[in-house]
Amino acid sequence: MQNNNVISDEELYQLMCTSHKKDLAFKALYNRYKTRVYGYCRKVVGDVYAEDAFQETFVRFYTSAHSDRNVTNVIGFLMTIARNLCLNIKERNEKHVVEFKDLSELDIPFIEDDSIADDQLKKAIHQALDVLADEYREAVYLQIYSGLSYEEIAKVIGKPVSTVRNRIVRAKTKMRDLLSAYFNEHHKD
Amino acid sequence: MKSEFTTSELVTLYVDGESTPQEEQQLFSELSVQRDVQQELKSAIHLKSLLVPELEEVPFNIEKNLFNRIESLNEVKKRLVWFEWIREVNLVGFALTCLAVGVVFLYKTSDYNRIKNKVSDVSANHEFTKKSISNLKQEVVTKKQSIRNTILPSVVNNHYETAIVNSENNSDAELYKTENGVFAGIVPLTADKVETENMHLNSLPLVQSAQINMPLNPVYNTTELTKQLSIAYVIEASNTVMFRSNSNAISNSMGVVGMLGLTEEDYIGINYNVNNSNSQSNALVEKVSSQSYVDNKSIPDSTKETTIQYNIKQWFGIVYERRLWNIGYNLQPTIRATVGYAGSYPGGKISAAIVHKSTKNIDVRLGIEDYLLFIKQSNSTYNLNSIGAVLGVSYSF
Repeated sequence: MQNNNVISDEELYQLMCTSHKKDLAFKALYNRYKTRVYGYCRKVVGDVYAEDAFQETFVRFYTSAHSDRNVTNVIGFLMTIARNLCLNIKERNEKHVVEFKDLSELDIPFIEDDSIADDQLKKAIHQALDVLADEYREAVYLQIYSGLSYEEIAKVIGKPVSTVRNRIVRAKTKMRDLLSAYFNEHHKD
Repeated sequence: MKSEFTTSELVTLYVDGESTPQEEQQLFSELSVQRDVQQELKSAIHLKSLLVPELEEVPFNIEKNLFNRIESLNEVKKRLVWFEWIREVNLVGFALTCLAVGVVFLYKTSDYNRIKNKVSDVSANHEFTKKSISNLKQEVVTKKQSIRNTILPSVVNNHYETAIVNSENNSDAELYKTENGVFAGIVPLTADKVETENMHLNSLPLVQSAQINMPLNPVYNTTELTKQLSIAYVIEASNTVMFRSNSNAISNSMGVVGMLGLTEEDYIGINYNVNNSNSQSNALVEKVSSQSYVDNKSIPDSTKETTIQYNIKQWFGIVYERRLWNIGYNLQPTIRATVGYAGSYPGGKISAAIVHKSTKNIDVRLGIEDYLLFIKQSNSTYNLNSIGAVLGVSYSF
């Protein structure tokens, strides 16, 4: 059941645009999404540039609030800002992009104990993500960190939904392939 | 119609909740017969459960930097509002108007007029008109003639007599020869020497030679004028502690606002005395350390109380102060009015204080101050009224 006391993202953004409570509404939205945006920035541009990307994202978000602006998907809007900034930073710094690698090049830990298996597998998954091509990884990160649907992600990156579907599906299928040994072992019974 | 995706990819789509009904139907049909596909589905669900964002708290310094940037953005915006206002009323026109008003105000109220009138009075008393000066010159010429005709011959005669007396008493006196014989002593004045003496007298100052007992050139008054026109600066520092404040909404969507505890403001200003009756008109620079207040109106549909803090940094304005009569013990009641801007908010202040002239240069003031600010945020306007105690000290140069 929806909590009626919780103000929606859209209402808060509206307050940012039209009310003297701009700072308060901004802080509420900031608290909702700061960890997601920060995590996304770290993943995309790395720790060194994450601070710049993160700060700039929220500064632009703050200054974007005008009475004539209507934002219906706040997290999507935030992620659009963050993504564009991260892409600019990456272009400036020409981060080396690693394309798909052979499974043997991956440093996936050997798993002996089931109790720590999931933790180790999480690390392996993020390592697997790191070796995906940029556009595939970007789509998956957007899905993970923003929780957006394929259609919403398509709006964020400005591509057709079919492109996003292809990218995410192929990326995830590839990851499953990369990690199939573990999954087969884990699910064989 | 068969989907463009492979069965493995259909599994991913299905787990993400993004498959179409046709894709689902295709997947289910294969799931029922293929054990591999069932295994893939299990793996996909497991992968989804592990593909969670790695969230960690944003470091404190990053948050701090972010909010500092936002605060500075707000400051810039407030200043822009001020400059926009000035631009709207035409910057040049505004500056010229201020300049004109200032010059007229100074001209009307400063000592310049008084001293100018004083000089006029002196001139009138001595009738320093062109005509009178011409008459004076004529008088001087007449007196010179008189000196030539009467005083000079007597000086020459005295010279001769002195020379004869000296020659009689001085054995070393020089011998000289004239048409009347040989004499010892100082050489008597010849016509040439008389002319030389005359020239010497001519070179004497006019006033001295004419012996007119009045200043022909009002040097003293000019000096006084220059001295009086130098502005007497007063540097003043004061601190005001606000002990009661309240605010009311003037326009829509604003609740009751109360001041957050005690606030204070620090004032450092350079004033100048306009005239000797101790009235002052100041260009004011004043720093307000913190003025914050709480908005107790909740955000719509929220059960939480909210707090909004506004920090007002500076006052800019025009101040007029009037010092009243001296009530003894070097105490003087004063009233002061300020009109200007606190940050970008228009407002005014009025204060009443007792000023103690502790030394020739130092004044100490103690009084009460009341100020009223009009704060505009988005579509709402409030007035903020505070009253407080002021303690200050000023030093005049």
